[in-house]
Amino acid sequence: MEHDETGVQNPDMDEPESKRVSRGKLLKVAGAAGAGIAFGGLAGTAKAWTPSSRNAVLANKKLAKGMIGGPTGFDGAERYQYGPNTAAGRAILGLKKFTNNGKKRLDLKMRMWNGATGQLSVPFPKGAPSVADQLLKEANVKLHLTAIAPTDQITKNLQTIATRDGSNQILISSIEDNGDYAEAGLARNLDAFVATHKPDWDQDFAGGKVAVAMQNQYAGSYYAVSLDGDYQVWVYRQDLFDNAKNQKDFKAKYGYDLAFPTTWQQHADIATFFTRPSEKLYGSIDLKNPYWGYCNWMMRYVSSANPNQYYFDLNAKPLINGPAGIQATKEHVASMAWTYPDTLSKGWPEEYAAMGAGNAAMASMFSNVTKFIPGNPGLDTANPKIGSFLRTEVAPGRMVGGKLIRRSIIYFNNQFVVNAFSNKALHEPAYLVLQWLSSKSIFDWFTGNPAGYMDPNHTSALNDPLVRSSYKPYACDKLKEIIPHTAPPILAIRGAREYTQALDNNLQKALTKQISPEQAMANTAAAWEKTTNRIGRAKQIAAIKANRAAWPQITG
Amino acid sequence: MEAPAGIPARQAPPKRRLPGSSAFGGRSEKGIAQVLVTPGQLLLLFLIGFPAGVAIYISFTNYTATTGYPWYDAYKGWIWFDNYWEALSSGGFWSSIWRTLLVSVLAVGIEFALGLILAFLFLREFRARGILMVVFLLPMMVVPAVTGFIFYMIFQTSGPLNAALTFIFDTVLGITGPIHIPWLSDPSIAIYSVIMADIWQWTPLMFLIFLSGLVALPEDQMNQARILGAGFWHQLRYLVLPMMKPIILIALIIRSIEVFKIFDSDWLLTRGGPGDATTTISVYLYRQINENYRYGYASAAAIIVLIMVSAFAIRAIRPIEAAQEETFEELIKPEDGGEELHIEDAIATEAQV
Repeated sequence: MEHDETGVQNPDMDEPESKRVSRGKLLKVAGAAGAGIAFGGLAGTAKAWTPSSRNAVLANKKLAKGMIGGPTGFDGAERYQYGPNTAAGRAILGLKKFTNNGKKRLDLKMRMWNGATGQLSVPFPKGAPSVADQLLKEANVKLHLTAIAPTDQITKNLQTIATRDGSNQILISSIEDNGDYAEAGLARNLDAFVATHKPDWDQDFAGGKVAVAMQNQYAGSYYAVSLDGDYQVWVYRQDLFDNAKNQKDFKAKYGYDLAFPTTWQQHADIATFFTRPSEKLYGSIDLKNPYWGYCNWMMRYVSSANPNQYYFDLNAKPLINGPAGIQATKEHVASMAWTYPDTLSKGWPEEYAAMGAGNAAMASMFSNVTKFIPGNPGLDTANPKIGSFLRTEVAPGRMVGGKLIRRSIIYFNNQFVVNAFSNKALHEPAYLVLQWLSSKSIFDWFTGNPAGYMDPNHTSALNDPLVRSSYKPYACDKLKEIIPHTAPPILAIRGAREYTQALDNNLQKALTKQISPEQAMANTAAAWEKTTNRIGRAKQIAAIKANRAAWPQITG
Repeated sequence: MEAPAGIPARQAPPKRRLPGSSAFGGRSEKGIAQVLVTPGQLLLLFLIGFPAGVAIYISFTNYTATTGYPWYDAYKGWIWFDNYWEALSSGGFWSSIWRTLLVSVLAVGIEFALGLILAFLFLREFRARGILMVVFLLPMMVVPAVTGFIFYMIFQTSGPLNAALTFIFDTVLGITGPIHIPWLSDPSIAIYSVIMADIWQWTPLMFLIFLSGLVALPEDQMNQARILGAGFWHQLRYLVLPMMKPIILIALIIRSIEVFKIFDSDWLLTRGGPGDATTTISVYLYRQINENYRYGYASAAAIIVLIMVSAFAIRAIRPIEAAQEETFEELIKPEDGGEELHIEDAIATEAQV
């Protein structure tokens, strides 16, 4: 029997592939295939049943040569299999040390958003196991998923901090919470584990090291593991933009060709052009509501300077009450003119529904818009259907010193921390599970699963056939362009939620004309100063400086 | 004062010992009662006192969940009364208090009026009274979060309320065009939308309390008043309202305190917005804790609110006690204008009987 180079026995590597099928396995596969023929429900399998395809079916149940783990049982499964010297392989081998090489079961509890659990618990694609079952099979680690509503995340984590509750080893977090959870002692510092087990984030995150710093780090150290890509993409209806009459009318009115806007000024023109309430069509329905809508102000704000219009200077002084903040706020308020009624009380469900119903020409949304709307009978409801005409783009921006600066925003995001209050002996296995899940092999596999909303953030995922089929090829290609243009939300520093809430509250007041844009920014800056002073300016300055690594530098 | 004829002079009741009281160390009845009640009182004291003690302790610190140390180490950030001064000088705190008062006064006032009217309407038998009563009581049984969601749908600009108003004022009466009132997104209107949702849900409670009060009024006095020619308003002014005063006050106090804590429907309808146009004190405190993580400040603000509400409750209870005493004294006043009986004496007489 061979041993791989890590010294761990690999049962799948000890015989040539042709001899590795046991009688039991053969009967099992043959039985499954026979059942497919008998019931006709697996017509594809039955039709494809030929002597040559038999080998393919059997091969689907095995790991490819040199692989030590990964799913089997479906066409293309080998793409998600891995060898010992990969991030996933190192994670599994590391986990096996905690389970006596898989002989002793290890139970770990993972708190997640309820809309994401399906990607780990529902088998995908047909013939595959679920991700959680695969982990149990490979390392004998049983992952218990605790589902919570996204809006309960903060409350639950605050309760965990207050009570020092260690019952869940892995906790859902958000990009904004990295700083607070690290300082609170909730998120365990992962630097040592990262150094030992070497994840593949730097090589495979679509945004490279900038994205890793943005999502996984606080003050230069690792505290979180991102399993998501909540990038705000701009989506538009290609059928409207390509319509000959629209093109002619638009050019006649504005003097340039109708195309997705690259600047906020063009965006205003196009949104105004397409706002036709009598036709139930609105130019741009990007969110304005409390809690979620501020990201659309952020995109306008951060694109105001080259490379970025930062929220704070390096002395932690707010910059938002300057001309860039006031201008962004004025534009944000003006954008109320081309969105649908009651926009201040409408959130994501309404926006997705309106987009699918054909009520909008443009909007900013999560990257899963092309995964969830096209062909979905509950969302793709326009007559005729418009889901297949949805296209995604980089956010509009501004010309700054002759350079076009366009910035998307990433916020919330399904990212996970190791609960520092849990049993210390379980910290490393908890991290290893996260490394395994975030490895390109496993992440690419479950991202394509339509049973949840953890979106691709790996380059490999964007090239993966399952993911591309789910998110649509054009959207995946565009995401490769959008991700490097993405800036962080406020900052993943301590107090991020408090800074954000002050901004959000004042933006709401400006949107409802209770205060002027100038006053909104002045109020926000004053509130930010108060927060910074209370938390400690020196600490915030250090965190702000470290966070500069999380900002994009790209132009164009 | 001497006791009137037939009424024995007041004297302290003799101390009684229960049979088998030796098992309690030969304690008196009162002593045994104290022994039995003490554990419960201690538990109650702990249940009320411990959280209150923690809140008071935290309120003197700058503790937040994210300071990195447990709550019992909060003294590391001891700042004395800073949180209290900050709350008392905060525009956000006071505006949320005033907003809550506005909601309380309007909502409770309208619920009171509607509840009383409904109670009078349902006092007499009429066809389908039972079914209608169930229908009117239903909103009270709806979970407040569901109420929030129901009214969120109703208050949409393109929702049923505007459609109904359009039908009445545009289609039928022809005096307006289509009506598009932004019930939830106009800061000057949103607070009234929250109030309307509260009125819909809690008027039935007022109705139920008042109806039970009206039913319990002494029939002979009401009949007597009617025979003597008292009209509805006279009966209401001189009989019904005075006799129902304690019930009315209790209903008003309960509802005022409840409305002061309004959260669910407010949060679901507007999240306290637009801006902070519907931020009541509960929403304000929730935001301080769950969005700003400011446990110390939120505790201080909550204690200030507790003091305010307690002061209101104590002040509000006095009229109830007074009303009870008045009612009782009315009952025991001699009809021939003789010497008044004291309440204590009356109680003693009643005990004798």
